[in-house]
Amino acid sequence: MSERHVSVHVPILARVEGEGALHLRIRGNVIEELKLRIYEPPRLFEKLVEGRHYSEIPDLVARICGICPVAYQVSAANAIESLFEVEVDPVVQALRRVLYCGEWIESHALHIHMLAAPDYFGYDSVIAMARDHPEIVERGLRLHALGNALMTMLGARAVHPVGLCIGGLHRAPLEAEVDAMLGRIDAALPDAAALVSWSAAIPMPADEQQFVSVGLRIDAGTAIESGRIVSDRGLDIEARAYEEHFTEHHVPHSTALWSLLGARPYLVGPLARINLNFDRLPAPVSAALAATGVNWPSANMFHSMTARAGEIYFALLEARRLLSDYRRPERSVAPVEPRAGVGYGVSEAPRGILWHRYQIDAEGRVAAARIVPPTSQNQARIEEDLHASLRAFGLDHDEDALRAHCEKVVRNYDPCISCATHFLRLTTERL
Amino acid sequence: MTAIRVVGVGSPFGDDRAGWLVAERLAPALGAHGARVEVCALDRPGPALLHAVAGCEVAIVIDAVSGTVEAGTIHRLEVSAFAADAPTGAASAHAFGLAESLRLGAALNLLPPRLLVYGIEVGPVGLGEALSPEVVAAADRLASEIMAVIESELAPE
Repeated sequence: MSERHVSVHVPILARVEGEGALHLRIRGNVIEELKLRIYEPPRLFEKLVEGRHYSEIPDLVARICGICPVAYQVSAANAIESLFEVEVDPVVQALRRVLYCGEWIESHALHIHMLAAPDYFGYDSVIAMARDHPEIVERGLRLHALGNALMTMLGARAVHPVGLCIGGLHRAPLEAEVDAMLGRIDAALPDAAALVSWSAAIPMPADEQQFVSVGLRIDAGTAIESGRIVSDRGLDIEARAYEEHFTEHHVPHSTALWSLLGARPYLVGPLARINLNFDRLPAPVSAALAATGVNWPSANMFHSMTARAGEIYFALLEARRLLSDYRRPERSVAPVEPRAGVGYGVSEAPRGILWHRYQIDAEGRVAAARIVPPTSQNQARIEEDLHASLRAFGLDHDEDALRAHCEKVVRNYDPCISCATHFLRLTTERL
Repeated sequence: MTAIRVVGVGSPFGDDRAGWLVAERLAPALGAHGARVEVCALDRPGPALLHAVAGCEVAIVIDAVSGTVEAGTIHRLEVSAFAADAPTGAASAHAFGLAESLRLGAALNLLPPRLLVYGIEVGPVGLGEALSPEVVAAADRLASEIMAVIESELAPE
């Protein structure tokens, strides 16, 4: 009796941010080797901020990612401001949360429409999909533009915004700017609600898996820009205790570090957040998500797209709530007195928790830094998912089908390899 | 309605500034035309480029290009070169280039009736901010050429 040997090699994964590859070797009915290989060169972010003054850090770390710069700025500000015991004005804190909502909307709209959706409609790109489904793509572009507009209002520009500083924001918007923005948000809410039901109506593989969800949680409301790190297995810690529970290590096939919680892979990002915080969502969002028929919390990673859509809806409603009754504060930057020590900060980047630690000297300069982005935290989980998902899909499919399924699984995490190298060519071998 | 929109695409890095430089050269002279002409600078193409060119009569896009010819060479492209059914590359948001953006715009019928795309051939792009003399000279020549195009577009028939 002959045994089937298959080898699939995807040399460059398309529609993910950054450069990575996947190698898969199947002998008979067994996956002999499966490696998500991140080969984008290490970018050495932590070394680049050493010796720099604390006031430069928000602008420096924003440059790490063109999709989620606000997350980098906010995690850094959380770390430095907690060390310096800076009291940011509550109105300015609310504006920072709105800025972050803008980034969630922009990043999620981009991923759903330009990167993920073509997988589920049989297109190789959003351009091909746009010819047959222009209304879907246009809706995505409208939401993306609104996310960018929120970021521009508070950060002066949507890409690598420069609005955030240690102590607050360089500038608080005028009431007239906020009023105009509230009108645009109201007009976009039907788009966001429709996106939730549209995404849930896309046929998804039934692929229930066991995984640990990790995210942030706050006492009242839904965590975005800060919170305690919690899991659905009982973890509940402050940012400063992260290194006692989470470990990072090198693997030979990746330039990004791998993260484990205890000895296990874990999930961060939209699905983990919705799983952990479903009870904390505003009623219209939880109702829209419940109406999809998905049982939340969900163990099916393919529900990530609907989780993302739900988060766009949430972020719009949250921005509207926070901007209603806005009164421009007299001062947008609180006084800052540097002090030596170690500060810890965490926030919910669009792709999951982003943890920072800065050791600052008496002159306010960074002596050492550690930055743990969401994609490196999800790497081990992606490989674990691929093993389970490929077995559920069936290893007897031909190479093209295996490759397409692997890419769909990986893209579902919206991996940002450029952030983590600090992503996908697939190679498969059947032996 | 804005009749003409000029969009310079670039980055702060060396010759990649070319598109921004042309926009900077044009902005003062175009102020005289008020709201009929708008100039903007983008740090990448992608959806933002579509928002920038949608809804005007003539869009003029300038970007740095890297090919095999001499630095400072000016390329002139017509909208038909970006037909929606042209083959597409691997498109992540990081790799969603000018051509992909304009093809998406063509697929969605968002492109203006007239779209002129200019490319300035650049040398190796480094991390510094200095531009090569060839690219600065080309940006000056191109700014004058685009100014003449705009004047003729705005001239009464």
